[in-house]
Amino acid sequence: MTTVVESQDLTKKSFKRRLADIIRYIRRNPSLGVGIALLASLVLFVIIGYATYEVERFRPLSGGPDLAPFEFDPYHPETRSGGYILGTDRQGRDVMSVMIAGIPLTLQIGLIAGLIGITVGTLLAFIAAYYGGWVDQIISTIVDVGLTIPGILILIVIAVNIQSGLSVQQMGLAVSAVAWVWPARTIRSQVLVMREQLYVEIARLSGTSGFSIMFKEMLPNLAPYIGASLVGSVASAILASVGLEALGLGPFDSPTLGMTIYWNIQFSSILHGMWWWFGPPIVVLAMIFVGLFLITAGLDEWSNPRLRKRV
Amino acid sequence: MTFRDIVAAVYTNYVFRRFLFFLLIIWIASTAIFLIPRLSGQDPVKEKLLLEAQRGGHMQAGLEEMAATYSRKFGLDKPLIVQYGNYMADLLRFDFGPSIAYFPKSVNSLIGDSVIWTFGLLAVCTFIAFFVGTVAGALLGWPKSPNFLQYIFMPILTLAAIPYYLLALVLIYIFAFNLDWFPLFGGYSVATLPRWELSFTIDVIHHAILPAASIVLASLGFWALGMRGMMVTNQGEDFMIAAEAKGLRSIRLFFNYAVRNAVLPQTTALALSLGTVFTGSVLVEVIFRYPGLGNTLYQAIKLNDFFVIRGMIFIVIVTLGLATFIIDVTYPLLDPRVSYKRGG
Amino acid sequence: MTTKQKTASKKSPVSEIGIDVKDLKVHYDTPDGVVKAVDGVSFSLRQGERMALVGESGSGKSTLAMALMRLTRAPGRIAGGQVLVGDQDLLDLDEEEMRLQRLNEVALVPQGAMNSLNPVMKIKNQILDGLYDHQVSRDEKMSKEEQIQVVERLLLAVDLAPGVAEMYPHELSGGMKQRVAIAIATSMEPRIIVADEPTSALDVVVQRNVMQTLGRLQEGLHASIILIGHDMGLVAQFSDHVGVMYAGRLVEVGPVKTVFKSPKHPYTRLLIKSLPTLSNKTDFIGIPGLPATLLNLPEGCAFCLRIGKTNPNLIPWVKVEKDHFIQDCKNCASYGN
Repeated sequence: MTTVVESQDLTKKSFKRRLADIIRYIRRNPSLGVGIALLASLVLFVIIGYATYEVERFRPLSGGPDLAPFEFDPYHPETRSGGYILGTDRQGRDVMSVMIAGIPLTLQIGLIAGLIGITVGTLLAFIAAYYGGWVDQIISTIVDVGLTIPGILILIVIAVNIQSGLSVQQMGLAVSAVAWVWPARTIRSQVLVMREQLYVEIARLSGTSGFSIMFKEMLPNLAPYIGASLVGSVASAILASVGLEALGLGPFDSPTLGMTIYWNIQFSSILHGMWWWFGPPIVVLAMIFVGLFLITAGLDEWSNPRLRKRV
Repeated sequence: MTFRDIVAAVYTNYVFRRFLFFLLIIWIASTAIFLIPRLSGQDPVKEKLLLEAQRGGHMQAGLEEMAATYSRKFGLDKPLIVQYGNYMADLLRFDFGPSIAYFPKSVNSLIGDSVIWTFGLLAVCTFIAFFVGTVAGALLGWPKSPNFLQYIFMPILTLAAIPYYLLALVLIYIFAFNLDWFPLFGGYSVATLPRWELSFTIDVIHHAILPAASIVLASLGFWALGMRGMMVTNQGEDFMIAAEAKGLRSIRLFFNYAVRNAVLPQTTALALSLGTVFTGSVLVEVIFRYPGLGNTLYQAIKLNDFFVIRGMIFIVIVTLGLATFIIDVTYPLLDPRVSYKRGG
Repeated sequence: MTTKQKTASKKSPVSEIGIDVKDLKVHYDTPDGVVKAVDGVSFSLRQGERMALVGESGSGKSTLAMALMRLTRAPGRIAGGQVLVGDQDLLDLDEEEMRLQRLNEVALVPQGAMNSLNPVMKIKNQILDGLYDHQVSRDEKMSKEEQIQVVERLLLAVDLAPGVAEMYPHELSGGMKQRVAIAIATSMEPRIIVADEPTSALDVVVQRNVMQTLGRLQEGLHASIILIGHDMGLVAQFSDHVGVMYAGRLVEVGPVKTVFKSPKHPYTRLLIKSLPTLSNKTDFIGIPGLPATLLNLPEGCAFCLRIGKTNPNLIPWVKVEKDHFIQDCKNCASYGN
């Protein structure tokens, strides 16, 4: 009995200590902390929103159009005499519901594209660095070309050609078509640097096969770097998807943040002074981008000690 | 000198290699533009034509002529490889066909009307952002800079993360809608006609300030962060320590040693970021209804005017490729380690 | 002060002290405590003499070299002591005065393994800019011909062709780069030359030639030289005096011959024994234990801690004979004898 208690106590202690370590690290690396806090607050907002708010009102005609926050809704005089927290848009969507439903959709697009992009990119990077020679030449050249051609232009051609309109998942897949280029380039150069390092050399001399060196020795060591690249990829995927949506090439029936920007531009919400409509998506997108950016910067510092401890 | 030697000499020539790369970019991009519509199994042009035909009305007369031009031009019954050949031949002649929405206006004339606006705006903005951002980053990454500079770091960091168009929306609301300092949209006042006159020039600049500010502010942070990072890295370089041991004046250490070396990767980044700058500016133009390429592209997307979209994308990629080529070719002037002769 | 007058003032009697370091301390403030990288080092060197500082990596040699130039960087700081050159304490000067002393009075020959030249500047400009920045007034500005002459003279002095002036660092070999570094360091005829492992990463033949060039120039200038190195053989050949550093402290200083013949400190003994010699090919003798960690190192004898003896809190700095001093710790004095 006592031993059980003691062992529990021990795990508790180590957990507490680990937590303390993490907190201490975040204190030294404030960008990581602030970035995580920004994204966590959005996630919390969505969770609380789904639990307490009528998210279904993200659909058009849920309320009267053009209502400022807490303005009396003449179309629902009994139920909504107090109006809506963030008002409604031109087509009668409840802006609060749009935000709660839109944040996870936009993050989902970013995650799908970011994950596919990083997987394909890492794979190509390892193949290029492993085989070297003309394989590397071809992959590197394609990557260089891809870096020069703005991805969004290719995405526009893709999106224009899918007439049926994209779903959120298809949107993620489409964006992933250009999301692998940057990771392929940066991870390849990391692999090349690492290949020259001593422990890889030793593994090679001791007869370990190339592939197992790649995946057993190098991949785990590159994990922090790949993690940082993933966050960066998610950020650029969100950037690209919001850009496409704002141009009118997104999922029209989904209340993503980019589509909200699109409707704002379509209906010139600024000229009508409807700050409650264009304000929230701007604030939320800014939080997402700044948050992801800070996390990338923080992870960079973590995985690249050379940058550490410098102001 | 045998033929092989000549081939080898030409191939190892730096300029020639960069030029091959430039051609490769154009070839890959145009092939992608050709293939994607065919992979999707749908034909946007045909569908657009069908749609217009159903609507009937004023375009009816032109439509038949257009449909004829369309199938003649692309020979859709012919094999894919022939279609591809025709397509490439058209591109090489910069013949992008007619606009569907503004038939019989050609794609070229639509692009021609708007290209000068975008070029003017982007060239000026990119230059200002690169210059100001690099200077700010250099000062931020220099240990002997005054301390108050550290306070501009957080705002710059935030600006670097925020997309151009979000900034555009904020600026337009504050400075055009609320304060009424600048016009809400357009490239020039509706009442004036484009002329080479001082009043018109002032009007154009007045209209350009907010879009320009969005692009400059949003891209400035990128340059500042990159430069700061390089300055910090350089501080640890051996030649910086050796230079300080030489008792050089701070100003010389700063310019001739730290900045001179840190600016090299910035220049390479400039070549790579031109595409991003253009992409970012598309939506800024849309938001400000600026009469440039971005807005034309947006209208074309809305009207499903596929020829315009395709022609525009081709032109933009050629321009960006050319700009990259120019930066690449002038780079050895900045960095003696990259030689024109031995290849890059 | 023109160059000629300065040289005249330097041609002083041999016995004059060139550099006098007293109780120099360099501390690094880390979140876990203070690291005493250089912990109360004192030594002096006569004008024209050569002294070598040896020790394992991490013993504080390079930190000491940087501190002599006052180039210690954050989070490190010079925590106390004096560095007297002539009758001036370098640690007392303000930033601008110190800047003028560098190259003019104390010059650095950086590590041979380093890329110590600016990759994007021609060699001639890297030689000249140091001279420019020490000109007191604008009238001293050199004409084009003078510039070419000065650069040519300095390059010839280190056995480099005048054509090197127009080249960039990446066009030079490692040995040539190091010669340029020596040309720069001697361009203002300094009183003190600090050479921080000047030939590391060069191959042995080049190493020898570079050291000969450095020695020849130093003799011509009658400058004192402080050579930082871990190659005991090179040190023995090149210098008059040797200082042995351990854990940020100087444990033994003396004339090279005496120290090599009869080392008094146990750590010096082990360092010398660990040298492979022709006669002693069979066993390679390392030094037991690991170098002391400098974090929160207690006062007293750091070497006792390494070999597991009790550490006496106070150990005196004792003169064994003329110019030969050791940290005299009773507990470990006989270790390895």
